[in-house]
Order: sequence, then C-alpha cells, then structure tokens
Amino acid sequence: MALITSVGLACPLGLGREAALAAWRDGSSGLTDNDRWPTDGFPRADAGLVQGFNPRKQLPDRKAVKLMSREAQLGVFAVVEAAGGTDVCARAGIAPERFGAFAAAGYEVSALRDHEEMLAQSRSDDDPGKLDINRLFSTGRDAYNPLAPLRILPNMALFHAGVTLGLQGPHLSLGSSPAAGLVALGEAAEAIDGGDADAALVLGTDAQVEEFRSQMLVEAGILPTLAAGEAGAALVLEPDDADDDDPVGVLAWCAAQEPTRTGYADPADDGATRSRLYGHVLVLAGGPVDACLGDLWGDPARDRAEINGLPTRAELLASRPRTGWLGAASGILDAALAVEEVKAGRYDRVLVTAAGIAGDLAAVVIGRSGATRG
Amino acid sequence: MDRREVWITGVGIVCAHGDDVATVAEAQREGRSGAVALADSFDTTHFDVLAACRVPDADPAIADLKADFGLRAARAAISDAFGEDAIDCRPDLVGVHLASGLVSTPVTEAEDELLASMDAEGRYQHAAAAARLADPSPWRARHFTDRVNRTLTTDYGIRGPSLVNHGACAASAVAIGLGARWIERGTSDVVLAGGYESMIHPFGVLSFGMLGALSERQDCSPAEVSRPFDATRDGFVIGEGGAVLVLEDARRARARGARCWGRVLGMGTSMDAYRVTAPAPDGHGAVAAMRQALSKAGLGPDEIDYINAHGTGTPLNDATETAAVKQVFGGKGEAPPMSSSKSALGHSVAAAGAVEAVLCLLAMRDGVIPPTLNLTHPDPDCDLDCVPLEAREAELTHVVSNSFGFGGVNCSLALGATP
Repeated sequence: MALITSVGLACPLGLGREAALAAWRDGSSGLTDNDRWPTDGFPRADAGLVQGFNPRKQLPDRKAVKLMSREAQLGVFAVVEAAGGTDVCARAGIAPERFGAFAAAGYEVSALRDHEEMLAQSRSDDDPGKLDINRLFSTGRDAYNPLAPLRILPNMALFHAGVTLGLQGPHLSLGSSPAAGLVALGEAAEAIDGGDADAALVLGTDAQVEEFRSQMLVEAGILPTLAAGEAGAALVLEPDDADDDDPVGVLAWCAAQEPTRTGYADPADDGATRSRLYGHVLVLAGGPVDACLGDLWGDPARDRAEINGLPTRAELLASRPRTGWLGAASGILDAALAVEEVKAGRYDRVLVTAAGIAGDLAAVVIGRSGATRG
Repeated sequence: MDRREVWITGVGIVCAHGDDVATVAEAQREGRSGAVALADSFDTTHFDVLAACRVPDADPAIADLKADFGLRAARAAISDAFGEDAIDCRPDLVGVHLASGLVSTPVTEAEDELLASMDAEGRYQHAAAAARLADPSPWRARHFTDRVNRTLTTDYGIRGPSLVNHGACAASAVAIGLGARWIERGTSDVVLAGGYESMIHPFGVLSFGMLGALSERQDCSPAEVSRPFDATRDGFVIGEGGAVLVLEDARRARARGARCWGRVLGMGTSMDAYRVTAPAPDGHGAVAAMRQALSKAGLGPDEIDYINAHGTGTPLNDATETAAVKQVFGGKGEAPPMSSSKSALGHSVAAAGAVEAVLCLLAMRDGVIPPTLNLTHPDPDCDLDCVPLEAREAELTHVVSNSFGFGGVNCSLALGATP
C-alpha cells in the first residue's frame, strides 16, 4: 500500500492545510461574493475563491510567478506545503530521479488579460469586428505578452511543481477533469508499489473563477447548480515502509467511463456504471467503507446517479457545495479530506469519487492498511 | 500476477503524408517531405515562417481539425484491429488514453468569441459576456479537451478508463506507454492510445514563434526547412495530425487471430526539472527515460537496432539528445542508427509520439530505417549515425522512440517487432 504521508492545500476552505482542514471540520463554507468582476447577468454572484493568497509573497521563487498561470500558482503553493519546503529530496534522502510527479491540472484557457491588447491591436481598420492577419503578426504580436504562451501550455503546473521541488522521476500530466485527479493519485500509487519511484507528488490544481469560463461552465451544466471555484491540492506518497506512525494510504482505485452524451446534465444510466465501479473498488480494497466523499453537488436531480451508485450503508460527505466546482483539483482535495477523516479517527476507510464532464469516473479507497490494493 | 504481453493490433495515422498506412510507408521509404508553404494556409507576409507539414486533405472549414484527426486515426485503428467499425471486447475492459494540446482557435472563432465581447479599446466587456451566456459555442465547448474521448466512448460503448493526457510533446508517447501498463497489469484488455494535434493556425504558429521554437529559414524550399542534426538547423517546422494504436493483451489477440503490428515492451518517463523550453544541458532527463524504457523491456543497449529521435531541429534539442544517446548507447560506431521523422513530417506536438511510434512499426515491418532529410552538413555535436538523406534497409527487432517536451517532460518507448 502506498502511504499518503503529507498534504498541502490552497482551497476555498482555507489557505494552507491547517486552515482548510479546520474549516472542513467545523462545516463552514468556502463560498464568498465573487469580487473578481461585476457579476450582473452571470448565473451566480458567489464563487469558491482562495482568500489571502499572494503568490509573490507566498511562493518560494518570486521571479517565477510571472511565468505561472493561476492554476500553477495555487499548485506550487500546495506542493511546497505538502513537501514541507523545496528541499524535499535532500531531506527525505530520496534521489531526485526516484521522486515522481503526477498531476491533473486545468490550464489558462482564455488568458484574456494576455490576449486583450494583442487582439485590440489586430483589429481590421475596415471592420473592427474582424481581425487583420497582417496586423496580428505585426502590431498584434508586438502587443502580445511574450510570457503568455508559457502560461497556457497545459503541463505547466506539473513543470513548475517539478522545478520548484527538483523532482526528476516519472511523470503524468492529465487534463482538467475531477476524475483525472484521482487517476493521477492511483497511478502514483502504482508507481510506488511497482518500484518505479520511491516517492511521488500528486497534484490537482485548477482555477475556474473567470468570466470567460463562466460561459463554458454554463454550457457544461455546472453553473448555476454549483459555483465556480479554484484550488490547488497536493499529496506526497511513499512506500508503506515509510516512517509514519499513523499510516493512511491508497487501498484501491479504479476508473471507468459512464455513458453520456450531454455531460453533467444527463448521466444516461442513472448510476448503473457508478454502482459497478464503486462496487469493484470496494472488492479491490477488501471490504466496505464507513464513509463516502462523493461527487455530490447538493442538487437532488443531479445527485441521483451518484447516490444510486454509492454504497448504501456508508455516511455521505460532500465538499463541492462548500467549495464550488474545482475541476482537476476536486479529486485530490477530497482525497486530502479523506486522509484527515481517517487520521482524526472518524472513519477507518473512505471512498472518494469524482466524475468528469465527459462521463469519466474514478474512485479511490483511502484508509489504514489491512487490505491490499488489487 | 505475471506481467501481460502487449501487442499492437491496430494502427491509424493521419499526417502530412496522408491517412493511408501504405502511402505513409512508401513516403518514409522514399524519403519524401510532407512540408508545404505556410502561406498556403494564411497570409504570412508579416510572419517569418516558410513551411508547415499539413495533412493533405485537411478541410479548413472544420474548426476543430485536431479532433477530426484524432477521430479519423482512432476509427482507422479500430477498423484495422477488428475488421469492422466495432471493438470486439467487453466494454469495461476497453480503455482510452489520448493526448491533446491547446485548443485550436481559428480566426473566425476569435472574432466571434473574443472580439465580440470587447470594447473599442480591446477591454473585455462583462455585460457583453453575460449576454452571450446562453449562446451555444463549439469553441468554448472545446476548451474541455475531452471531445474525442467522449465521442469514441459513446460511439463504441467503451466503459473502461478514459484519460486525456496533457504532457506536451511527450504526451502521446506517455499515453501509449501507460495504456500498455493498463494491459500489463490487467486493468484493460484493449486500449486505444495515441494523440492528435493541429496548431497550424495564426494563433498557434504565433505562440510557437514567440517561444523561438520555429525555423525562420527563408532561403530554401519548404521541404528543405526542417534540418534535424544539421549544423544549419534553426528550429522546427510545425506539423499536425493524429495517430492511434490499438493495444491488446497478447493472449487475447492470439486467441482471436489478430494481426500483430509489433509490441510495446517498455516505457520510461522523467522530468528535467530545469527550464520550460530548454532541455537540461547534460541530458539527464533523456538518459533516465531511455534507461528506464530499456530496463522495463528487459533489453540491453546493444539489443536496440534503431532510435527514432525526438530530433526537432532546434539547436538545443538535437545536441542534447545526441549527448544523451551516447551516454546510454555509446558513441559513433556503438550506438544504433538514429533518425528524425520530423525532418519529413514536422513536429506535430501532442501527436508526435504516437505518429512516430507508428513510423517505428512500419520501419520494423518493412526493414527500412527512415532517413533524416536535409542532413547535408552534420553538426559535429550531432555526430552519431543519423541516416542522412536516404532510407536504409536493415533488420529491426527492437527500437526506441524518444519524445521530449516543453516543460522538461521526457518519454522513451521501447517497441518490438512482430514475434
């Protein structure tokens, strides 16, 4: 069993592990008024914002901040906290090439702030609603922030995490799906158990609070049921011979595809696929769980398929109504909360689930050892 | 449980040589370039890039070309593997792992989506954005980069794991390697693995141009621009396309009498932890990836017959890759022949690793090492046998395909010929 030996969080519940877990325990919500832009006409006026985050003051390399998207900034905060600093390889006595990194991350899809000036300088004189290619390649290019392309490359959160901690081991960079975060966690556990790495960082990071993305989230069926949110969540995994006096780890994981054509709005089989997946992962984990941190939104119609799929005797917990939709960060945040629940002694084993817009599903059982992963 | 053997039982490819495997193999054997003038795609009067490797029948009216390439390649691979447009396997034992890059943004969509929400000074107008919330937008929908996965899993009833890999230029190689591991450890019996990409639009080439990655050579024909390992190289030529492999549990494939294109023997991945756009000068990441791939395959360096290089044609990559190959395989006379397919097909970014894996399978099947085109003035720092100009006949049993990406992500695949 790969152990989860450390956690780092920058999420709407709080900046930093202790603040976030305290807010989780006391039941408070991370949703606040969205002060990023005037929200008149937008589906929700609130959002899951990370409060008090100042990347220039709180990240180890101030100069690198301008190269980072919001996703990367939140991710680096989380990984540095999880690793206990930037010198984790030396402190842990692990060779950099044996320390892997597995990430699911959103990327700066629109980079509106970066593109505004370039597009303005590329307008056609004849029709300001049209672009002039020659102007795009001349005055538009001159107005384009040369750092912008580096911020929008989709594996940049992984890159910045790896550079910050000096990790040179195996890697995996997955897309902006809640389920992808749990797959990254599962594959990291496989890498540890299979001997490909002596430690692994797992990162889920995303920043969905942006006016342009609001349009996307409406089309995906997320807004207005859930608010948009942002978070970075990181875990450190080590082999079960690690020096941990309260070992909690990944007991089992699985992934599957749900039949769906219209994303979140229409789970086509009303939970049958989820039921099979969650049942299978419990078999792999060697038995039932006490609690489920499920892909629950607090909306009965939307949650029907998930509730139909989850084990009936387990207590149901949900973070999304208190954080908003966190994209790639959702699964890892919930995994971190599950570790907290087990370490606090409230449950022995917790099933964490996540679903992506395309119907991709993943499930992980987190708990104390006593059963092995399949 | 014993590690299961992974066969490749289906292949689909869409590239600058076309979408027919026989045509691609012939072009590779004849050493043809797929490059054309970038100006054929849009006005480049003010953009100093001459060439691009376009898919010949790419329809510019298709806004989401990359997805089109991905779906074409996947459907061709499925048909190749199963002889029909269906997957003969229990649905929950079929997985999908495909790689994709940034969302493509045709100019017309930038006008409709971005300019339409800006004021005269170019400032984003929240009220205009709010008013558009109810308007469906294919472009916005594409920003969730799972369209190809969603279409394939729906159309073919796939119920196993489905992932989108965003590992930059190494992404589709990682997709193949991890897909093989799913089969090795019994998670899946069949996996569709590969990648797709199209960045040949004004915003795409502008971004790569600003990163300093593209060749700006103007004093030659488009076919002569891409010059991996040559002393005169100055950057890569942008390519596009898609490639998908059907990976299958060998025991199952044998039982159903499937054809074997080759085998996935091992994957190695590593990170440079150095710079975004430059490889670590000592090549440690590339070395680690190649050694790990060999180790997973149970092969020694002297058992590799050919290396399909990452070979972008950028000054830094080719010299660093050469140095790394020497550390693993030895110097000239010891290391196996190595060539760059990007000399003919350009760099198709997220698709490159899968495209080049297919080219490796063709090389093993046909006994033909593809050449490095335009290698007329070998760089002294790239002094291995890079198979210049003309294809070479050779018996190939084991090959390594390298893919190294922006952000210092490295992946090497060890592939084996049909047993």
